Amino acid sequence: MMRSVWQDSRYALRLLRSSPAFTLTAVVVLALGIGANIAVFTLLDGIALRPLPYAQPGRIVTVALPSSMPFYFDIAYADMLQLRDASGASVQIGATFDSSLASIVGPGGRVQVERTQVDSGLFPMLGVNPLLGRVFRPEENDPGRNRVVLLGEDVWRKLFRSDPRIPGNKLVIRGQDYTILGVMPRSFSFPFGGTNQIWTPAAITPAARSAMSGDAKIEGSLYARLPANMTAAQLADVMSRAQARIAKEDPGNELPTRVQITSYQEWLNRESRKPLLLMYLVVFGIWALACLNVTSLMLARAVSRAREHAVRSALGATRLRLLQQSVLESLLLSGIGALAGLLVAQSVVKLLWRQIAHQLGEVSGNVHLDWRVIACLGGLTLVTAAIVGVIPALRASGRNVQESLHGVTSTASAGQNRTRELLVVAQIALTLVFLTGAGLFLRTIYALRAIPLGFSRQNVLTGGVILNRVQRQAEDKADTRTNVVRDSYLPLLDRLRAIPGVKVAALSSVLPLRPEFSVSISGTLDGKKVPRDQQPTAEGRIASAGLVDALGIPMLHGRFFTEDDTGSSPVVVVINEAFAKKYLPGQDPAGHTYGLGEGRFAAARIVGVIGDMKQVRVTDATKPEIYYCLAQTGPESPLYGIATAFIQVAIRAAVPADALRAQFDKALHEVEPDATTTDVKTVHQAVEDSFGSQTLTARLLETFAALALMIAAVGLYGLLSFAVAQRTREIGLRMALGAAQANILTLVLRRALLLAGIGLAAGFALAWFAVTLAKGYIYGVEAHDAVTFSAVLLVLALVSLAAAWLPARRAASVDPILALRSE
Amino acid sequence: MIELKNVERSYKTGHTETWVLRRIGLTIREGEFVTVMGPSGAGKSSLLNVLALLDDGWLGEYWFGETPVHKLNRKQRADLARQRIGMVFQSYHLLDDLTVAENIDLPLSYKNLPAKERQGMVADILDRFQIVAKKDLFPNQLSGGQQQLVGIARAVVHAPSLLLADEPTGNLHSTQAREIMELFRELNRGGTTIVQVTHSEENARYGTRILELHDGWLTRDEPLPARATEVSTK
Repeated sequence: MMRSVWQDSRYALRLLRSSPAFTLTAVVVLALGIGANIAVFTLLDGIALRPLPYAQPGRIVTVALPSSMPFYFDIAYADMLQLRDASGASVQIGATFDSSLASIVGPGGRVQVERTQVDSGLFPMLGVNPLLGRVFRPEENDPGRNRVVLLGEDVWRKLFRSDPRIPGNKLVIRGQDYTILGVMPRSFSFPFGGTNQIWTPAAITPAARSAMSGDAKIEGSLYARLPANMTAAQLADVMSRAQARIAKEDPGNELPTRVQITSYQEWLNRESRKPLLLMYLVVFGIWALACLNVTSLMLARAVSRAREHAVRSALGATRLRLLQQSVLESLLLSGIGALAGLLVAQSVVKLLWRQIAHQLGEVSGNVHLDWRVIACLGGLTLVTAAIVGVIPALRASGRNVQESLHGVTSTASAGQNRTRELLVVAQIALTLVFLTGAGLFLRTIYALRAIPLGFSRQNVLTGGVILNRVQRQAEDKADTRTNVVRDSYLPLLDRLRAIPGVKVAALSSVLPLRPEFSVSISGTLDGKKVPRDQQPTAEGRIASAGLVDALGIPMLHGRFFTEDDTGSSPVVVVINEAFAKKYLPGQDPAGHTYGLGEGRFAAARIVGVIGDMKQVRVTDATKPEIYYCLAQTGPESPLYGIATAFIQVAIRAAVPADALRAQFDKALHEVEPDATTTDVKTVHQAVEDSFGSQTLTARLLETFAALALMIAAVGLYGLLSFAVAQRTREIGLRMALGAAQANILTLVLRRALLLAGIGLAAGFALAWFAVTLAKGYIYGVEAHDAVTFSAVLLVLALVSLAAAWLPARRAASVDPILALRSE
Repeated sequence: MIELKNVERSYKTGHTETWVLRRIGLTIREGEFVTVMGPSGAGKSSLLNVLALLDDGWLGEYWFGETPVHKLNRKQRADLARQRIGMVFQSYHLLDDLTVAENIDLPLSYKNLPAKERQGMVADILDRFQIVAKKDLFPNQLSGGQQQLVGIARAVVHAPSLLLADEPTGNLHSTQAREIMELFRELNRGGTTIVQVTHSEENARYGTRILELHDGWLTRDEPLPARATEVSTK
């Protein structure tokens, strides 16, 4: 048995080598089909299937308070404690609070890390022991005792060169000394998927343990481990009852009354699951298309090798042995195709990972070649080999040996070609589905790009700035000696404006379609006291003079901030059109006042109205905005917290904006050596990024549709070429009987067009239903868009015609003597 | 009707040139029944291809009646063949997916004749060959002799003045072969000029003249007296 397998394998290899065009076509088509599948499976594996690096990760859940808007509320620590008490001692909980970037230095150099503040329950809840040292003790959440830190393995490796004696050493974070307690294991991350992470205990004051509001309150995200005897639904029930009671006891806070429990794994992938599944569906179709294509190639080959099979049968080969040979050949083909596909898939995924992760939303995880991917590849290779090898082998081994030996072959090939024709019809139909999907997504992207943004996307560089100063403590609030606006932001602005080629530079806490940061504020209009829920609410923002010029925002009324608006001049604000329409309909907003808190900010005068800009997504309506002047934002201002947390830069340039990155970095470090920039990109990129998975899906579908088109064209071309070769005698005979070249051309083309017509009709029907799957992803175009469907039909019909033309031309030039010479 | 002057044909394979027809001079008069004989590779089929206007690679002069074939282009030659020549093959070459009637209609379909006229012509020939009952059958439902009968019907349906037959009985047993040859003689008596290629002396005796080829040279050209009638009545 093994000997025969070896013998047949060698023969199969020789055969593949002897027909390089066939082998190359089949391998390329299979590599595309299997490669696309493996690429998406690698993503799926890396994002959704890989077990999280915690003990029994399936039992870890997030506890969230859902709002009526598409976001979740942070939970007050006091609320967390009550929820924990309500769910019983068997439910372990853990919490994370602020997360921020910090730049830290060690023997290995400087590393930008993500520092997450946690409660001491988190690590026991996750069930992970450190690689070195120990995790936090409950008392280390007490203010003053919380200057301890746990390092991620990658930070330890890079910064401390894997020094095992590192626990007990000191580390400076944002100007303050911390004691290193330990190092977490290599694969560990929390929140999952992060790199260069460190963890410190949050400072939880005794007041914070009971404060549901006010300055003492601290908020964060809550996680829990389900005990063995409890389901997520049961925990949700228990906690929701408790939450309803908590909300009732504190009506002023308008707390949600329901708790949502979601498996942490699902929570992580909530944004990416749908596009990933859609993508998998698409690549599955591509794979099916590749299989259909190679099967038809193999079928054609089996027919042309009928005599060889007949000789083998006559010499004693059993049907099983013939089958074995054919399957080995297809196994070799799909094996080579799979290897090539794997290489392509891995390189593409690695190359595009950042972009994919970015466009799929906040996906976590990382992509690696692991046993699941290998198993999937192996399975796919075997199934592919079975599909493309067995059907042709069965047909070949079932042929009449005597007829094949004597070369009695039919002149007309319609009967023999039926299976292959069916395969081509299926390929065209599937291709039409892909093209339609790609067409709809293309139209979606065009529709999204056509939406007026309210600002110019031309040549503006934007980026976030994190100062990494000593963390602001509650007691620093009244300290007016430090003022980040005066000491850092305004000098930064001066330096940016001095860069050659910069036309306008401005700072703002929020830039359009860069929703890193959002603060909703409620205040009084013209000093009128109204119930809290009726107060004018708007997105609170801080901006410097020049923002409207930097972004090309139209000024509808009045003026924007100028250099004359300073800390000593009366406080002024600018609103957007949505604010004016909602809260001051039919009035001239100039002269009205907006009040926030006490003092100078209790009656800030509205001096201008700017046009509405798109905020988070281009498809969402613009919400009311109110801008405070950066130069007037000092430590006493109610929005000073916003300024210390984060600021963004917008630079309009006379030179290509992208080229200013280095100067931006330099200017920032001249002012603030420890500061870091985040997500520096042009406004144009920010707009494109805001399309999220739609861009990725559109691009992938475009690529896959092009692949499908190519595969289908190759399929039709291959089939017709083969049919023409098979029908050489018939065609020669027809010519001997008087057929002109035009008659032969028509004969071949008519058949091709008939097949294409059936394929198009079937594909149309299939696409009509398939597009409903994409409904949630398309925008500005109907799922059954007539233009898309017509264009796709036309393109595919033309490509089919082109694929049929060459074989038809070849048929028309058959030498009629061939028909007679074969006598 | 046909006159060949110094017709030559060769094939090039690599650096060597193989001659299959050498300086053929030949006149075939209207109403003749010519048999071409000779061993394998003598050039019989090549001569038939030249006569059938399927081959364009020859040198010399070829007159078809008053028409100088050697001066015609491919299209004109194809037109001439379509109008004036019919062909019968050893392996019948019927199209398996077409019925008997459709196979016979095939050469007519390439002549842009109105469908009704074609139907009439096909019906006539089916009647004449007494195969009306078989008109809706497919080739694989017929015996070899019946298939060749259909092949001949197809070759003569458009009333060609020249009928060329390449080993027309090569795949048939003797009784069927005799029937086919009788049919040829009948067609010849009806005025059709016939050129057949055969290895069979018996078939050759149905003709009126024998040509023999050896290595591309015409080595024998002699008339056959009326023994054919005796053969047929034996």
